[in-house]
Amino acid sequence: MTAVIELCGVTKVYGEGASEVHALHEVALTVQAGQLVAVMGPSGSGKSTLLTIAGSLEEPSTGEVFIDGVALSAMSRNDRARLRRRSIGYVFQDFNLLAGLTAAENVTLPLELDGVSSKAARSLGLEALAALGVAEHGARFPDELSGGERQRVAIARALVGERHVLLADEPTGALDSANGEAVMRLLRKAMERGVAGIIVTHDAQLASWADRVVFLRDGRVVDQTATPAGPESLLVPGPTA
Amino acid sequence: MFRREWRQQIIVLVLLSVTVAAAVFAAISAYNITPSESAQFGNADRRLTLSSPDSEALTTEVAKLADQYAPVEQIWHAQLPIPGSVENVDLRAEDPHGPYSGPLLTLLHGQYPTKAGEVAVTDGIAATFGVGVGDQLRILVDPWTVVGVVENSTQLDDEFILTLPVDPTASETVNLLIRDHPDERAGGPNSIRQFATPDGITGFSQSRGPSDRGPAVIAALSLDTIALLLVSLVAAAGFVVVAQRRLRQFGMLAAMGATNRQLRLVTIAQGLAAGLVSAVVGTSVALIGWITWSSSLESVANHRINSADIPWWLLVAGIALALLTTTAAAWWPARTTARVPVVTALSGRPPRPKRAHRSALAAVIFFVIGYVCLAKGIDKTGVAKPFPFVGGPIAIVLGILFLCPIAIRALSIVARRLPIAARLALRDLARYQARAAAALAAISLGLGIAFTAIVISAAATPAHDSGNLSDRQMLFRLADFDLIPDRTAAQIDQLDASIDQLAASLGAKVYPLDAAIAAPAGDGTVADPQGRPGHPTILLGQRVDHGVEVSGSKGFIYVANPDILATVGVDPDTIARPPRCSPLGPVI
Repeated sequence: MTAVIELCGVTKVYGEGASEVHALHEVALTVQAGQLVAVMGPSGSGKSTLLTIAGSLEEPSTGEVFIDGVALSAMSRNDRARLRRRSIGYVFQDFNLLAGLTAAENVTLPLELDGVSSKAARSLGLEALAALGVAEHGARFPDELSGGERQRVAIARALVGERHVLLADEPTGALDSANGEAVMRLLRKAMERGVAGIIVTHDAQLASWADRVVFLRDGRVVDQTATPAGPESLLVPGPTA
Repeated sequence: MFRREWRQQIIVLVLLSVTVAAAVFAAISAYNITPSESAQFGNADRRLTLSSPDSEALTTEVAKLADQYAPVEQIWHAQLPIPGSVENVDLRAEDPHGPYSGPLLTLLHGQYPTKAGEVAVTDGIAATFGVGVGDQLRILVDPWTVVGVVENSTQLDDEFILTLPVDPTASETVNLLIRDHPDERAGGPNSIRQFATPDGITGFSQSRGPSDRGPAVIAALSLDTIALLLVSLVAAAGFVVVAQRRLRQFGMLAAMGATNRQLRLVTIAQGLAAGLVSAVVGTSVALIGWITWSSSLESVANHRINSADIPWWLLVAGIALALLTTTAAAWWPARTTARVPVVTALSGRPPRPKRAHRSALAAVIFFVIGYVCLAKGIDKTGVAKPFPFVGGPIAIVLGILFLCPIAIRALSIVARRLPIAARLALRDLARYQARAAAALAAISLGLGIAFTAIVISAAATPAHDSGNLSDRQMLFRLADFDLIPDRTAAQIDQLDASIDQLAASLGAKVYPLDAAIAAPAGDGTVADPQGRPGHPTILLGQRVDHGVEVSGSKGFIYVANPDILATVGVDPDTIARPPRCSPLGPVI
């Protein structure tokens, strides 16, 4: 399997002197294609910072981040913006849909920012909405949708086109348990397309949908579950009787 | 933008629309109110005015000139005294269908005179004499029949009685309208040349100058620019607020891969949209207002106004100005918000304000540029040059913008000693400098405009060297002071008697005061546009443009007399007689 997201010794320090805060300390994390990793930890443990650094929204103080094997530090500001347009999708707790755009326009926004024609983008956008079961809401504005529908639109926006990195920050935080389960099912389904995902959550039950769970405390990885053995493990010869 | 944030936008849009409407209306008004050159020349290029008490010699000279410059249109003038008044009436003989006088003559009612004994009158003359079409008008021995009401639509206060040009022998002045060949134009545009013929006929030749509409429109556009700048500063403060409110959206866009340029375009497009809406609304309101009220401006303009005479390039300029200023107003918040780190923007927290660097230096540079532009923006003849005249205020506004952070910081120093309300206000000013600087610059510019208006009006009030009348004194001017009409001794006696009678009724004492008049070539007589003979007054000022115009006028020169000198307490012996002023005598 290919490592899509790779964090090597990432440290992030905010502020200077007395107000200095170590948000992350020597964090290492690798996410393969088709793998969903859940990040858990108490408030202030650095979960969101890990997500924003992995998604090139901010730079680490030290360490390196690789997306598809390319170091982010080697990229210009515009290259990182292009990477976000083409490869990385975000899902936020409060959806962050643009209120002035319809659901379909919200979904097609990354494509249009990337120069895809409106017609082609709309076609891809409606396809993404249909895959998440909200195609009929394409012409509605976000304030005309329920919470679950908004989050589906946000996921559609994160996955539209050829994107294969999904970063979700408490994506079910604003939803009831039924909608939360449905969203996790959709995320899980996206992984089957080869998408690599990191999900930040407080909810252990939702984290159980992930292939692996990483625990953060005070900016350090304190524990993580093992990657489940794949079918190939059955091929390893066991001890003979 | 307008769907979600119309409440925030509506004030800015209304403000911009009203300003654009006022600006466009003012510019169209300036264009149309400016006196037309046709008021004196009709469709001709040059006007010769000849005067002589010898009407036979005048007729001979006119015939010679008419042959020389054919086709020539002749307009003969005779001044007839109005019974019971010190004023004269202009008896004007001209062909209503002449080649050049079309703009000078419009028939309102009835018809033009077609035979001897028929006249047409202007509405002022009709009111003065209480006559209408079909009535008899008796000024001379033989009455005339009024057959029509006419007007000079390019000069509405031009009052006259129109007759056929069949008997000009009684006329003392004649205007000849001539069209020049381009290579024959003498003296350049807007020039006046005086001449005298061997037969004793004096006159002057006046060439048509360029229209005054251009400078008037430039001045109007300059004022429009200042007004739009003022409003755009207010709009900029509004755009800053809206941009900060939409900070999370910008963060979201950046997270999705929007570049800084794309983020800037979002806010700039907002300014552009606001400018476009306000330009369309404001221009539409201005056009409707113009079509509705243009006729009421005719009394101010003193000529008829064609409401369809709208310079479309001026509308385009007004719309472009609105778009430019609103886009510029949105540019700064666009730049600032696009630079906010993505994570900070996503959190919706305003970024920590940064101190403005080198703003004092920038302010000084812009103030100097503004001062130089304004100093060089008006040439010696008082005509504004468009680019410096418009650029000067823009540079000064930018200077104010750069000065504001320093002023805000200076104010925040004293904040700690102030009560909580004032302290909070000053701290907020210091914290949100972008928004505060735009608002402070708008207020400064508004105060600057008011201050300038006060200074100009104060400068325009009479100073010690331009008039010394007390509130218990009154000055009666018995003529239009551009030209002192020639009056007979009997007319002067009649005027003196009228003044004495008025003074007696008020219990006042009369001090006669004579204006100094020029003594040109010949017998020194020239004529005003109505053909009334007289002498031009002498003005104090700087001579420009062939001696015709005077800039920096400080007023008229009066000829001293013993009564005046005694009144102001001046001993005549103490006044030095300038060696070259002997024809005038001592003046005060």
